[in-house]
Amino acid sequence: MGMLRALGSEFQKFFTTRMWWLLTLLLVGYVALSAGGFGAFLGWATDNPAAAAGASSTPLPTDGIAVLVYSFASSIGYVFPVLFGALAVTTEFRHKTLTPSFLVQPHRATVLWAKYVSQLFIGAALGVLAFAATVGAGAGALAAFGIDTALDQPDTWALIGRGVLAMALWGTIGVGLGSLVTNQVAAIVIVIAFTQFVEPIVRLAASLNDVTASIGKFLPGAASDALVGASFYSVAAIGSAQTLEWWQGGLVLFGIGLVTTLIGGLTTWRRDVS
Amino acid sequence: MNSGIPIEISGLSKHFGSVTAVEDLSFTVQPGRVTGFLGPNGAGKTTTLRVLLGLVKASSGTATFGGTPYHALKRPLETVGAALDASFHPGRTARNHLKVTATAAGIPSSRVPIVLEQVGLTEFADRRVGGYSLGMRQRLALAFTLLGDPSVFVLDEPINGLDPEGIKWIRMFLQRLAQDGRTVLVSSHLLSEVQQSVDDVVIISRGRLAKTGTLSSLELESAPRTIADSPDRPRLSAALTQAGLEFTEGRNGFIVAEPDPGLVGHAAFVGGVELKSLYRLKSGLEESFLALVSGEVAAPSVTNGSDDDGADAAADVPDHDEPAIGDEPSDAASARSEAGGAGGAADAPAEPDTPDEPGAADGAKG
Repeated sequence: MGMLRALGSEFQKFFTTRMWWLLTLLLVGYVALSAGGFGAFLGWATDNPAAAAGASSTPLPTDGIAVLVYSFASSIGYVFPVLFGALAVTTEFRHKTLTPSFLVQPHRATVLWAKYVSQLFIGAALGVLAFAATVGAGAGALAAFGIDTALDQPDTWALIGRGVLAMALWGTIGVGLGSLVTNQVAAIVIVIAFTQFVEPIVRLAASLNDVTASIGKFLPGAASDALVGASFYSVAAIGSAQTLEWWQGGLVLFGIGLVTTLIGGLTTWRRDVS
Repeated sequence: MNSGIPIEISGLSKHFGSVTAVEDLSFTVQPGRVTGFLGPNGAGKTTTLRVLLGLVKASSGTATFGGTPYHALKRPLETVGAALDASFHPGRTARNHLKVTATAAGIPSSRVPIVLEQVGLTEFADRRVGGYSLGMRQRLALAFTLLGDPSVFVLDEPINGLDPEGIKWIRMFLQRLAQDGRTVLVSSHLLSEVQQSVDDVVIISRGRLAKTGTLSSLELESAPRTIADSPDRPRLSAALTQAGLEFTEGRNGFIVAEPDPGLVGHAAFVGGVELKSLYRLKSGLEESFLALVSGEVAAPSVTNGSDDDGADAAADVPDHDEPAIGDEPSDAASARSEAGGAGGAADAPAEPDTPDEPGAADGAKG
């Protein structure tokens, strides 16, 4: 009972401030533009191989393009569920609302699990919206150039399903991060810096060598791409692009979210609230 | 719900690193009475309340509600209503704050408009709290405490930030709660802020208990003194010395360490000195309070006190023979009688007597 109530309360907390729709709009717009733009570029490149050859020496095969475009939802959109998860936790510290939250539910672990589970659902919902945006914009752009949208293939929908799962797991990673780094500004900086700069560079650097590549594939972004099964990075990556099995990638994401949340729950979450 | 649960603090200590916030604190707060939890800033009041509410871990000792610690209460919000620092997410409306709380506590959301009405926030319920004044946030914090219709109220500085209308309102609010048989603990760093609302006082200083008892017992603590003045002070001085009385000279005359003005008058008569004034000075409650929290004994510091202390105090007390609380007897009495008169409304512990008062009291900052 307490868990279900706490879960309901977390969803209410989420939907009663403006943050959720602002960030959701941003996510949808961002991935739709990226997928539509990239789809259109690829369409143009396949139509004009001679002109495109200057930009890319290896002409891209048209099969596989569609899922690549669709996967923008998770491969670049994953930062949003992480932000949501981190904000759900750090907001309570920032606005000192842990006091009322813990007065209502003195079993603190219940409050944190409610955040974990609610962000799992919210991440999944973001995934659905993001893939709707990339499929809508991407398929439109591809179809305009006569490229197969692959929407009639079950594999495409399986990829989308795994992408939604990845987004859900990224939400739990956000909760874990927020419970470890309770300072809201610091948490946001870490999310942005890690996802946009640190990890892409490290992934690229790791892929240059076989030994580091076998470690690099466990990076959360790499694991996420492995789970989804297609990513801009796997095309852009130079050198050997080792990836995990999709289920291994899923386990890595799940593990990161779970372990960070557990550590946060045993440390910062148990501190005196004053 | 008004079964009368006492708050029991026993041997409570809390250390933050090497800093001792609370040291071996023990007291009991009885149901059916308003208890003022008093002490200067930094005395350990908030720490004590936070330990009591399970937000801060005690270093040793216990703090319970009739033997049950907060975290073990089956339905905490329906047992204890607590208002601590009036912190809310600025982007959420008052109504939504209460809904979020009601959901988590399993309280029907139909309680939300009821408690908003009780604290007079209905009109502002759908505004984001970021635009609220401190007084409005205090009211929202009180609405939070009322959600579960609890039998114990723990309020940390609830009067802070309220305007005079709001203060009058909360006095009645507290009295009503106590009259329903609820336990009410209200902290403040100013005795004068709560002295018209409280029946009992628990005074702490530097984390230790300084005094616990009824408000009137605090008044008795302060030893009364006599002020005597003469056109011829040297002769009066000689007469008082002759009579073996201890005294100091202040602006308004001599402060004599003798509660009976008759004896002082007699000494003057024996010395053949004309008296200009002769009256008993009873220390105000605030003075007793200050004496307690400064760690001194509430007694006249005749021999080693500075000259002006007593005289200033004498000048500050207009009604010489009355304790400070007597200055406004009608106000306090009427607050109590009004609260009693409206006590028939069974489940509504407090309603503002004038519905439009909060609106007048707190305009939104905008």
